[in-house]
Amino acid sequence: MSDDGVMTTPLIAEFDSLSARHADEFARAGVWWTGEEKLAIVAVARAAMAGLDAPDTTLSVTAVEAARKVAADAASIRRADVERWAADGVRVEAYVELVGVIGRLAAIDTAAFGLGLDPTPMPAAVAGAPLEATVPDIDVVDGWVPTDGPAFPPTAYTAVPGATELWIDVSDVLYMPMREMGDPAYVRDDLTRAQIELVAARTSYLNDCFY
Amino acid sequence: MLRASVTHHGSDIQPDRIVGGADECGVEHAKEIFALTDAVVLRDTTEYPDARIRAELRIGRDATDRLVMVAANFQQMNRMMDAIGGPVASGLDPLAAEMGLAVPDHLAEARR
Repeated sequence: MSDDGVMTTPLIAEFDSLSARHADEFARAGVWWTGEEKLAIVAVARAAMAGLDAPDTTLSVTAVEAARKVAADAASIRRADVERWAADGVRVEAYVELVGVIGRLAAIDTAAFGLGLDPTPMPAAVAGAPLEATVPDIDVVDGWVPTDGPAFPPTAYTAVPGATELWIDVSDVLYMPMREMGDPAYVRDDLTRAQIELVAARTSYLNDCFY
Repeated sequence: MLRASVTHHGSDIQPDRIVGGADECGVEHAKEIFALTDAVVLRDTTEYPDARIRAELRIGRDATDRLVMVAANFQQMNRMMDAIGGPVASGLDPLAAEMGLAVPDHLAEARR
């Protein structure tokens, strides 16, 4: 039995480990944000997803606007928004990292709700400076941010070193390992590939997303 | 992949019923899957308990937990793709039409 009163299973244990791993990552400096700033992004995003006003924060007005849009109204984002945020101080690579943080948070918080668990608590921020590392020789191809090739999931975060690996960690645990993506007969925990993809399609529909 | 996996099992998907949330869309136990997916994605605390129990009774505890996890993953995927402006390939237009939808101009602007 977990602290939430939920019967622990191997799946729940795997999720607990995933959420703890990413909460710890949120609290540490990344590439363009400090740990304190990433935890502030988490707080702003959680409030937005709950339909609440933004909490008091040290983030810039621009970062708060971007975080709230990504968290609660991503389908309304346009190229002009990304360009305006960059002009107002959130450089495009920092925006990509922000999207990655909020995407992983949305996945972890949604899973916790659906599994009957409390939201994952966030640790205290770990002091440290962002790497501020860029990736050479990548540019905007056919999306709104620089990508290493056409903009699709495997390249979405390639402007930020390490961000793709963090996304894959969440996707592997919650959805399926990358090596299984092409298998229409894949079954995980008694859920068939057709049922898995029905959940995916319905979720995308509810989010007004055409992905 | 939804269509490929349904075809693999000898059935056929009816995409318009995904939009409508219809019971019979070509996937087994779609009614319970739609109900719990909706409750989880929309954080519907009223509908969630009943949807969760019905899903567990129909597909079992582990499959229900996996269903929740898949929906959660697509909360991530949807935000990723909408936020970076990943274009929707023109080859998906017929599928969108089958669902009664049209790909928005801003996602079609840089098609491959």
